[in-house]
Amino acid sequence: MRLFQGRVFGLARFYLCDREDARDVAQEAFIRIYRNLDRLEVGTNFTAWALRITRNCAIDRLRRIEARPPTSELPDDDGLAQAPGTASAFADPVGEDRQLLDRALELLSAAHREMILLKDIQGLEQQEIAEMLSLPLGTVKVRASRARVELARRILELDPSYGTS
Amino acid sequence: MDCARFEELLFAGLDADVEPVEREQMALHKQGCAACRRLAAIVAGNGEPAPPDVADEFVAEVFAQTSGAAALAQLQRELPTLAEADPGPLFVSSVLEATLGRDTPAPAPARLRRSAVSRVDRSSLWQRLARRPRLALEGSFVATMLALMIFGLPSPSTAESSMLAFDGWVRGRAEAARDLLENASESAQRSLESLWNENESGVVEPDTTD
Repeated sequence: MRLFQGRVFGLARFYLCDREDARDVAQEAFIRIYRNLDRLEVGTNFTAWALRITRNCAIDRLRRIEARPPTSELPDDDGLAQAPGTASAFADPVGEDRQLLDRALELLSAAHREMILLKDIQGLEQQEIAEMLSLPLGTVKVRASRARVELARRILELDPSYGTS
Repeated sequence: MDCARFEELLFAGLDADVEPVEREQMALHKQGCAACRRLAAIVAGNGEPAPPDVADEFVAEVFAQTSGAAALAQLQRELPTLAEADPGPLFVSSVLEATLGRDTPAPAPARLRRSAVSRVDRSSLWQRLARRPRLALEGSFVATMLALMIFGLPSPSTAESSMLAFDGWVRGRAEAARDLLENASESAQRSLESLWNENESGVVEPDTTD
């Protein structure tokens, strides 16, 4: 558990805009992981499986706290039209580069932000993301590239020197 | 039209109409740009299998013409560092505390179950063991063996008395057999003597008067 708590909590806090909510989600995710270990098939990527459970827990939590401000970002019937939230909502002390990243991520659409989160931050394979989001693999490929380009453009708008120093 | 504009219009076309003039410009650009043809094929395929990382190649081609390449490279370095976050020192204990209050978890792989039992479910270990069918069989076997050892196997005193009883029975049967043989012998002897006497009394003396 200590091995994966950082990843699970790291994912949860991107979906939730409150650190305590993220902790609750991470805790619930570990309980679900523990109770469903018998369903883990041989050959399954444990990390991807655990993160998938974490995402489901986060979406469940977002649905339960629909009215919580300032998030107008709530999952729609497809599961995730608006979420995830943004890391800047946390009080964690972060460096200048991190703040720049957070601001750029806030400017992305929710779908692109989640693609960045799963592909570039958590490092999941495109096939795993396709299964997690119930999307065709081709759509994931295009969306991942497009999200990365959009993030780069947004961050360059905020800081034209980004990447050159 | 450049590649960036083509890409922008291509994806915009998924959600809204694109002006006919721009569509013509896109068509012209696509004819002369292999990367944009591939991207358009991926998008139009709507999930059809695409060559691996074609879209990534396209992104690289587009950004190689701008300052985006350097930005992408830095993003590639920085984004993975956001994967983990520290939930705090008490997180593990809070999860374990919550887990102990739950129902018995589903059986886990042996490697995980061993650690889970030792760390989490120690208090209910005997309850978990008692529910194992194999343990019931093992317990029955042990109980049977103990019962045999205590009640079933003869003790030295019991063995001695049993041997004495058996010996008496054998002796009795032997004496009965000996009596039977003696009686039979006496009976046979009497029969023989009777026949002998009858034979002697019935003998006719030869007639010597002739």
